[in-house]
Amino acid sequence: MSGCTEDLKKIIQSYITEEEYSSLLRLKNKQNEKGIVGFDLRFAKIRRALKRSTQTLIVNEKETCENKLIIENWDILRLTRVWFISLLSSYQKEEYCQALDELFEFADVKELVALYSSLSLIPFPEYALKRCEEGIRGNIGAVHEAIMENNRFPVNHLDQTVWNQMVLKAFFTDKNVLNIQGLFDAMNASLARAAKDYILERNAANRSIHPVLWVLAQNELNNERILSVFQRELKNSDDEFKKYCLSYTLHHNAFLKENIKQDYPNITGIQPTLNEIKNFYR
Amino acid sequence: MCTGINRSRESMGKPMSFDSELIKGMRFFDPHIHMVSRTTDDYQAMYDAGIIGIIEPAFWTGQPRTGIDTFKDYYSSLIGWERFRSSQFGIRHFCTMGLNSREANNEPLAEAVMELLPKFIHKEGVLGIGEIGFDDQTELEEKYYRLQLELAKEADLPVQVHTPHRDKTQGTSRSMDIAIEHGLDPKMVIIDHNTEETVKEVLERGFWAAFTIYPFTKMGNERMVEIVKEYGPERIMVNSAADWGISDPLAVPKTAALMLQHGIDKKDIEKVTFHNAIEAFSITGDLSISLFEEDPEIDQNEKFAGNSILRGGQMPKVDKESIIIK
Repeated sequence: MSGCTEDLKKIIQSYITEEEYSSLLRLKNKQNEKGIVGFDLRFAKIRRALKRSTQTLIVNEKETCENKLIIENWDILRLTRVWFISLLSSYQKEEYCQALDELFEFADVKELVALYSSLSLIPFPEYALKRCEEGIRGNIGAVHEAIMENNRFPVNHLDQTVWNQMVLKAFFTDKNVLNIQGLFDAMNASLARAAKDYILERNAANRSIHPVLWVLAQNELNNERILSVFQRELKNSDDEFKKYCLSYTLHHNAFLKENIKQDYPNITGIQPTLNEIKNFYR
Repeated sequence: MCTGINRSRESMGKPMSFDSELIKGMRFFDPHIHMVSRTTDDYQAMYDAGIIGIIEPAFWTGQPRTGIDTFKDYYSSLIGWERFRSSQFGIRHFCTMGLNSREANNEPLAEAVMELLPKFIHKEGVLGIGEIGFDDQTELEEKYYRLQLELAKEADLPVQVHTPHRDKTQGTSRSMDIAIEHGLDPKMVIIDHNTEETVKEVLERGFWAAFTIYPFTKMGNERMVEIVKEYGPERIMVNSAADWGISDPLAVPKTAALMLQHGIDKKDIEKVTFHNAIEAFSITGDLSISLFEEDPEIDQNEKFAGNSILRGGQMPKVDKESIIIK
């Protein structure tokens, strides 16, 4: 973990002024004097150490902290808070969890975003898991995004039921689902059934169907009803990404292949891989 | 606050329609509104009327609280869920934190709240200590008013002072005397819920004077027009204090429209409905006029239901005129 702390420090240092860095160090050094006691108040004062114009600088670092973090469009304030959280990792479980409880209980929205972004850095996964599940159950969009998007903790730690709920919630709340780490690696029968039901529900409501739902539901598409919805989508597929998803689904589902007689060369000709779908917008 | 007063329609005079065309393009800031008690319809109407920022002071929530955890959850909601709710409509949400005067009378609970407050006052968007002050003007109210003035002084935060409904003139003078006694600069104190009877002294002593346009129990906006005509726009601000009572979350834009109709200079109206409040609460640096010039997309905090965009005008809007619900 110390390597991670060091990585984060270096990134932060390259964005902030010396004066701001000294203020942060003063806060950090109180840790040496006072230990974990009062960490919540020091955590709350981080933003005072950075000018507003610095706080909003945007950082992109794809692989850092032994690949535990994906830093995409984070502001410096978020990154600095994550750095401070990483400083706690040497404490014993009881002290550590107590300190984190304090942070979670009194956090504002942006602090919550930093806390949930740090899930993979928490040395006690069972504690992080409880917090992660709580965050998913909540209602705040920015918190959901911090957990669901560009965060490896859910795919590495959630059990299948919670994972499936999270994925569905990501669709329901219009998240960028391609940013869900491990989305296509953790596909399962139960999620496929739920995705198929969701497709039918959207269809009944005359609402648009997210193309990725077809990919997730690929092994459950096996009756006339879903076939007619799929065919209608094929006819109305002017969007490139949608074509990719429909093409993939068609090529991986025997029932659809057998029953769709009309040829759609501009779709069947694509034959994308899951990786190409995942990276379509990158 | 809620009122049991029942006015007959006749006594309320002829209603005048709210011509929102008059204030088209104007921006408003409501520095006192309790959105926790309001609906999404209110948020939409506020955004449509030009309100782009609000302050939600911590207050009494109607039912007396009996335990510290309900305070904690309430304070957390002011910096969490309520802020998010507001951001969905393109309205920037700030708050002030404090122990209100009514609940200061429950001493054991008040002590626990005083221990809790320091954990919240440094959070983002907490612009001051409020709303604090007197209600029944009891000894305990005075004790916790003084303790919170000290807290504000130590943290270098402005104070939003609730003045009492009963014995208001004397209670307002006393609130200011105590603030001065504790060494607070009047520029750091916003005296709220003023009337024709209190405004002169508040302004003469160098405090900010806030006026609450709230039907039946506080100011009416025709009276507000007269006050601005008489005292000018300096250090005066208008708010709605809309809550769970019969109140109006559009009180600020409606008052601006009425002022325009009565020939008050537009620049002066902008001062009392936008600029002054922002200046008074800008001490922490979280609030400034320039914030409202920024592209809201830059602010990563202001996300709604999944997209990193904040454009209130683009929020899916329910067509209230249609009986069809899509």
